[in-house]
Amino acid sequence: MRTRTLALVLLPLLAACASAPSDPQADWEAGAGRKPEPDTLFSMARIYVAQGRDDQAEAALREVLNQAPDFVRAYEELAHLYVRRDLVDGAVAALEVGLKHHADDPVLLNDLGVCKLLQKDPVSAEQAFIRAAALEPDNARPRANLALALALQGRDDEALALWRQVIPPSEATQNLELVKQAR
Amino acid sequence: MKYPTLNLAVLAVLLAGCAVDPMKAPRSGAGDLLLGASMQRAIVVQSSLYPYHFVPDSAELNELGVNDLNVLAMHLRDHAGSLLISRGGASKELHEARVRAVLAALEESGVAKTQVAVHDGLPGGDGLPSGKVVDILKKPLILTGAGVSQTGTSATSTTGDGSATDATP
Repeated sequence: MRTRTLALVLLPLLAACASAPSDPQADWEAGAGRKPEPDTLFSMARIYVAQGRDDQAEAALREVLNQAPDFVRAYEELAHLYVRRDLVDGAVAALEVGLKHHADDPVLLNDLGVCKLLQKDPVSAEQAFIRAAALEPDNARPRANLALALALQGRDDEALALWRQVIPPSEATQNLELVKQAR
Repeated sequence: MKYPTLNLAVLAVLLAGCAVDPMKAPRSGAGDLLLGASMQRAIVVQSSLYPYHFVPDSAELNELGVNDLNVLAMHLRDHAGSLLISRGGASKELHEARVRAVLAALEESGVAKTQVAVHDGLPGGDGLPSGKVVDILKKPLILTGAGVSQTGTSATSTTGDGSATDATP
């Protein structure tokens, strides 16, 4: 009996979540001339990316940021798009603008670190990964990336110790050997 | 209602779903509880601080250094153990300053000064210069030897092997 009463209380609340009934024709006409919302544009951009239509994806993402400069995922997506097109400087610029709006975003910081590695600047990468790892201490990714940045600077003992926090020791040693060969 | 609890649970989930903004859902960077526990365990197992934990050319811990030291302090408040502070490429003076900074931070985090003893230790292998080992002792240190029975609150000694100072309650 009590359960039924509770359900009766919850149902109106659930109903309140649904949009109010309206005239579909009036809605259509009202929406026809309206610009797409940033969320919609962002979804469109991701579809364009999936279809390989990079120019349209970039335009959509830029429009998202024109409308909503705080839309952090658009900076991330734009940077990914630029990296795929080998425009690392553009990716860094996008991420740095994003970080002006969200200085403590660990994903943007981690991505910035990766871009700095691509620019062969492991010292700047190290600083970005340190901040990302501190902001998201439970995430292994920025720590593993930090290990790579340290290994590329020849700080092997620190790199090995960090890798050993996130991957088995044998793989950590293997990673270090690979970096030693590459540098 | 045959399964009233189940029905209520479904309703509650639907209701919660209304409030969630899909664009604010956790992104790829989000960790979870298990990963967090595993990372903290890794930090405790290593019990080491490296130059990357400090601001370059400074004795000040950076954000990651503060974070990792907090994890270690939480463990060391209740458990005996030792903490290596690796010197890396730092000068002797800078390394000493870093050790002092770590000791101060440990004390601030609730690891009593009377439980901390510092000694040189762990001569490194290839590319690993020696560091300082901070021993965290459960009880004040008691040193015993031939004809000597002495109780102290802390001790500074130099050992070559870096093994933890024996603490006898």
